[in-house]
Amino acid sequence: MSNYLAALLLCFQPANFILLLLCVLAGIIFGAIPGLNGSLGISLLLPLTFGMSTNASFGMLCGMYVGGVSGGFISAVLLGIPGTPSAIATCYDGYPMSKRGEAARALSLGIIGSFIGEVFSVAIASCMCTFIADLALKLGPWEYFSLCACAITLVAALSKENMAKGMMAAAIGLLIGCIGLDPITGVPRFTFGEKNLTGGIDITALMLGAYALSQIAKSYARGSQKLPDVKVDIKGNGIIASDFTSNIATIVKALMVGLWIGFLPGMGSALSNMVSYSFCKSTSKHPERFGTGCPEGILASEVSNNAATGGALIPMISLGIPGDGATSLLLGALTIHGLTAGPLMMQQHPVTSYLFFAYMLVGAFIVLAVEMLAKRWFPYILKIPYHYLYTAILVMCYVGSFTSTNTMFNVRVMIVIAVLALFMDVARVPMSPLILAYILSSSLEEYLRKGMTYSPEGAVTFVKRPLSLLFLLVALGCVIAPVILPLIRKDKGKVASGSELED
Amino acid sequence: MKMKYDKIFAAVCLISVIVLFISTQQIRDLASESDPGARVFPYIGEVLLAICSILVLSSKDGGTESWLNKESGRRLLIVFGCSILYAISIIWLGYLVSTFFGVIGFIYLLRGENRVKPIVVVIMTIVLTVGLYLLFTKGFSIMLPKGKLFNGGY
Repeated sequence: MSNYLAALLLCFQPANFILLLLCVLAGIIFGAIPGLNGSLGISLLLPLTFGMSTNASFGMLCGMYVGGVSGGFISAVLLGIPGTPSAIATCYDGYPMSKRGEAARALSLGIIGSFIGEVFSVAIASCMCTFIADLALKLGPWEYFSLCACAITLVAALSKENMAKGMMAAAIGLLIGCIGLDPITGVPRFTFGEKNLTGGIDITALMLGAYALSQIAKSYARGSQKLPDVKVDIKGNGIIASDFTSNIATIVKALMVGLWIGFLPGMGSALSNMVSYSFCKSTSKHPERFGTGCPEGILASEVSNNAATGGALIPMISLGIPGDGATSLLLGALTIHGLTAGPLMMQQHPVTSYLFFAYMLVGAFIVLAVEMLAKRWFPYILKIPYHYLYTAILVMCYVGSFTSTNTMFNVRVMIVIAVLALFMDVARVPMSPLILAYILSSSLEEYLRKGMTYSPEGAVTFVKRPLSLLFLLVALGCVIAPVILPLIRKDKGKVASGSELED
Repeated sequence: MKMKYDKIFAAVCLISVIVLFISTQQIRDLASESDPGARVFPYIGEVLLAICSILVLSSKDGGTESWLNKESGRRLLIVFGCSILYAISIIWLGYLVSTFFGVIGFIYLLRGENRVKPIVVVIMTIVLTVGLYLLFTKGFSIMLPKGKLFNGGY
């Protein structure tokens, strides 16, 4: 508790608080504008944190994370276009409510729903983290290897289209992670005589290429750079107490769904809002109201997507495994500042570990205050011309990738990664397994080799230790299930149609 | 437009696997008896990538719907061309000069059919160029490139 309080006090230090506030504001803008998102914002902030203290850096990154997730509902409510994938389900009820002339009510539901999801999930996550980190201390390299492998497999297997494509992305991430010196023997790998590659692919250049440069290039290539005008009026504060008191069950359900989905590696807010919406709809007493502009629908989506951020922090802080794309970036930021997330960080740097939760918590209150006060000006955010924003982002990408190692080589890496990201986008190969595999690749290799070296039985130990075996079985199940389940369903269908014919 | 970009991507990956496989065999193996060595992890990645590429290549999907067409391809070439030009100009002319012209160029490139006011462009250019320069050089003590033409090295 004392560590938590110390972290909260750090949050309220004037410089840290001001940076948090500014980044929350920037995050809301990034979240609100379709095409931009919190992850892009975090990748742009990474280079800025090189010259800053760890505490101030995390304040900026967490502010962008919280603001980015929350801001996504603004364009979903006002235009019917989600600002980020985490607000897709908000469109279903938010926009119809706005069109009915109740834009203020829809925005208030989104703002307060986001706040509830964020605060409760972060509070639960901070309690669970200590417990999970204590358990994690008892694990050996075998369990860690299996856990990392399980996380990568889960993300790849649950990729939206094709599992092979997800696994393909993960393999590319692993191979990119191999570039540079071997972590144990120091032998160069895949450097092809280029000295700049001995240090490996720089995380900042990779993130800027994958999230920022490729996004701008794609947006320019598609020519989709103008949003429709906002045609709704925002009058009054729009808060109706009964919207919340009569939907407590929906709020609790959405909170739990969001927390759980956020906790699972690789599945963040983008999935949680959709799952929560359909779950709340199917368990509601009035499912017919969903999609017509009902408060339940907005709360189901907004509470869960924000709850996923708290859930994603649990594996990141306690195990060093990112819960979603944005936490992968936060994990990268920790590495840049010489920290390794995981149970040891909770022991050795407890205040820094709790600082993440404290920033998220304080950030949630700032988001609530800012959004409630600035609700009337939301339409202006959506009028910011893309060409100014994109130009600023482009220049920041170049400066950021240069400053991470003070070489122009990183700028070249960023451009190559952006081309790769675009090629992957066109081929419908997801990016998140690549990022996750890249982030975890060094740990994965280290655990694999340590596991084989520490035990006289070698690789057999990975399946002899129960927890390690369990993780490996889950990973295997994730790969096999999508192949076997359709076959079983097909067989059942054939049996059913056969018995119908006999009848 | 439906094109088999996924198959093209898988084919490129398969070719890359061959190149990487040859490169992996050239990695010096300094491993002890119990350590599987520096080659094992790249091999795992290559095998995984090869299997997945073959699966994608052999799947019967009719291709993927994509935003990429002739016009968007041309635009991609333009934006990457300008990006590369900007990167080269940073090396030779340094951050300040190249960013000043780069920002103006990018605004006019990205504006599409939107109108831009020259005064706003000038203000934006100066604020962005000088703001970032001061932030990094004075705020974080990180030097930005001065340009080979002016400094000898960047």
